[in-house]
Amino acid sequence: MTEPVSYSSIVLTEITRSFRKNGIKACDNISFSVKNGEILAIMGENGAGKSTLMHILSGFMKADRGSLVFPADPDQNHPSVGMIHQKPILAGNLNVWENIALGHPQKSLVVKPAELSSSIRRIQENYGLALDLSMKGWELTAAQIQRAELLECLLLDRKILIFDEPTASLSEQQAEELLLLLKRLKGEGRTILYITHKIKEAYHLADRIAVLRKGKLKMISPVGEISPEAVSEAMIGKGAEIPDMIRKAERKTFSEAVPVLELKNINYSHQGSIRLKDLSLQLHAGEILGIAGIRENGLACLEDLITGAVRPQSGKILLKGKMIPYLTPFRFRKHGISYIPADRLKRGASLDSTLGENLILLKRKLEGNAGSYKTKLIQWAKKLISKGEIEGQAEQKVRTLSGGNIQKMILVREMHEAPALLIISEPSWGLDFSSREKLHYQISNARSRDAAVLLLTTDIDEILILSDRIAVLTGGELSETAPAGQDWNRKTIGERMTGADRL
Amino acid sequence: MISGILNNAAPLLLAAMGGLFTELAGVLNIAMEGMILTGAFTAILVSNFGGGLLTSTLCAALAGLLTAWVFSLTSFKLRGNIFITGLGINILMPALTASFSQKIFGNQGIIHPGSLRHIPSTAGLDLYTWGTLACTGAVMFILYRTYPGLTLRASGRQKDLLKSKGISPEKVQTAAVLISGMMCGISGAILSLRLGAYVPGMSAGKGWIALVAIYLGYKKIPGIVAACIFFTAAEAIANQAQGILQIPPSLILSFPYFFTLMGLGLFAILKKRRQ
Repeated sequence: MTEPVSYSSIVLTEITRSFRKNGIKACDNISFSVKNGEILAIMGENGAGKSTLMHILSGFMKADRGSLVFPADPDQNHPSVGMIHQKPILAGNLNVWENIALGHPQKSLVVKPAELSSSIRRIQENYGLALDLSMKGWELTAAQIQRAELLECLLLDRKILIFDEPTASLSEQQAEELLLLLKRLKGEGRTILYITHKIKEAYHLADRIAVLRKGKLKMISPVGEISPEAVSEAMIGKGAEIPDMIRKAERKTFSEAVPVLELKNINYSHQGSIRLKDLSLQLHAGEILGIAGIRENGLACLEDLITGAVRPQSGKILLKGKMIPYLTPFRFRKHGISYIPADRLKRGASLDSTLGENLILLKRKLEGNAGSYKTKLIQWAKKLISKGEIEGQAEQKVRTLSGGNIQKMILVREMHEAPALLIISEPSWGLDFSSREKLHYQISNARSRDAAVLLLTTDIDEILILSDRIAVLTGGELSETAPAGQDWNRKTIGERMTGADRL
Repeated sequence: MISGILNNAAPLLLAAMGGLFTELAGVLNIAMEGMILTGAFTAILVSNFGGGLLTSTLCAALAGLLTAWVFSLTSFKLRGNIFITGLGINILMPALTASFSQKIFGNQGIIHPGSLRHIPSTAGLDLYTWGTLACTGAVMFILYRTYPGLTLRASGRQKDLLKSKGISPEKVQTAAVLISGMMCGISGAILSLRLGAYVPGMSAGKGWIALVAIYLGYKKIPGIVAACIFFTAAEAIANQAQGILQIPPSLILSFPYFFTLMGLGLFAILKKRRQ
């Protein structure tokens, strides 16, 4: 981190940015510099601050504190930074050349389509980026959108390129082509920042690797001087102790009866890229099956599949031994499955309804016959509010609650009827330590009541603390399921998650 | 006959062109009705005090712009609900013109200035129709062949897109609203200056029908032109039919609105087919 400034293309000093909503520091005092013409892989888990940092670099966001210098660029105004986004940003109703033209420096008001397309074509031929320029934005696949964004950056001759998990939406073949192209761009003296979850890619491509965790820069080091295991540990952190409360809760061996939920050879692909590959699992009553993984690497997709948000192309889903052609959210609820989603605000709560209304979402009928519907609702809500230790009033809008309280609300709503099957995704995101412990206690209690619990999480500690059996999902493929302690520990799970074990 | 329909379609088409700007920017411009009425009143007011055709039209454009500014101020700056502020404009403008009319002319009814300006015409189409057709061509060029036009077309849904290019989506929206206000103002001026009088409520739903024409034409200019001509033709047929058919005139006069409703239904069906 002490190389002379003149050789650097970006110098970051003490960049800090926190979010107004929750005060969490997405970037905390980050300092490093990027050399001219190098590929720097930026790694980290979800919410590690990678995207925020890149948004600051590309000028989309401002840092609260700290300085950002582009020594090679006299204007200092982020003009030499081009970003290839993970989520497509382009206008669906405009065709490709119009989308590219949008970012073009405007010397005149009038667009000259012929001139522009011929200069785009020249770049296409030069770099082998085939793409029909007259296609509309909405017709493009994720890979084609990426190509369009890359063409725009190259047309503008960006010297610094940021790629945000570019291979996540690509097939293997496409990914290899892209990595080759990146090496060529580097050869031209461009600086490349490459965000990825995949250690293999980082080692294959990058000169140096930087790891972010919880908004802090954990390490930055040349690829040759660090082992994949060390990178994986820097990403995931050291282990935590298993709290006594949960250790005391009895871990039973589950019965070998019919599994509550069974997936058989599920295949799911989206826009040509495979998201889940030949996935099978069995979940029994009275056990917690933990599936560790990275959300973009198949975990989010598995959540969607099990809750009926997407349909698999092939494979079987069985509930208590009964075949279900495919799940829909309605069928899913009809079978009495409880679901605690990772995206609580969008899937778990109706923000503009009151706390009471949210708590009653799963119930059709209210007990008791005295009083109006509203008084019954408030009575019911009060019971659950105290049971769930939610800090809020029955008639308060959910939007005004804190994230932790919204999670408590979802928990008490989903768990209070003692469901037979519970699907939980990223339950402790944004929770403080003590709420997290209480939550873990509740989940292990559900197991003691003979519920089948499927836990999907990126948090390895959580998996180890709670799960009876563990499997790891990487690149859409599920590993063998094994009890915790046998094959799975912090190191093996972490390496499997990030793909470090396949180097 | 054809030139007559084209002439009658001009104010609707001009308003629709203005509305296209806001529609592409992702603003539901329901205040067009009020903007048209303001233009119509201002044009007569100015020509009553000796203003020529050009002066009256320009003043109407300015009045439309002012109305649009109030609309954008309340909607974007003060963050009012765009539907409410738009309706507010539509209710405010007739009331405001009525009270101005009371103050200046001593009545709230039809205003008929003494001296009438003759509107020059060639080949059966008058100056305003030619102007509207030219304006339609210009809008087409601006939207498809200039950078601001591209930006506008890109802005509707994806606010992040503009932000990532360093453009403020709010500025684009405000500009679109102001342009639509100007065009609606002129549209109103065409209505009143052709008639040589201001009649309360003379916009007669043109702002709404323009909005329908935009949707029916898939936000594309040739489609919008066709939709505007269709609605105007329906109006002409309704007027003709009044004398011939033995149907109560009030029912016949509802034809254009009935066609609007049918048009909306047709749009929904076409959209479903396309998906």
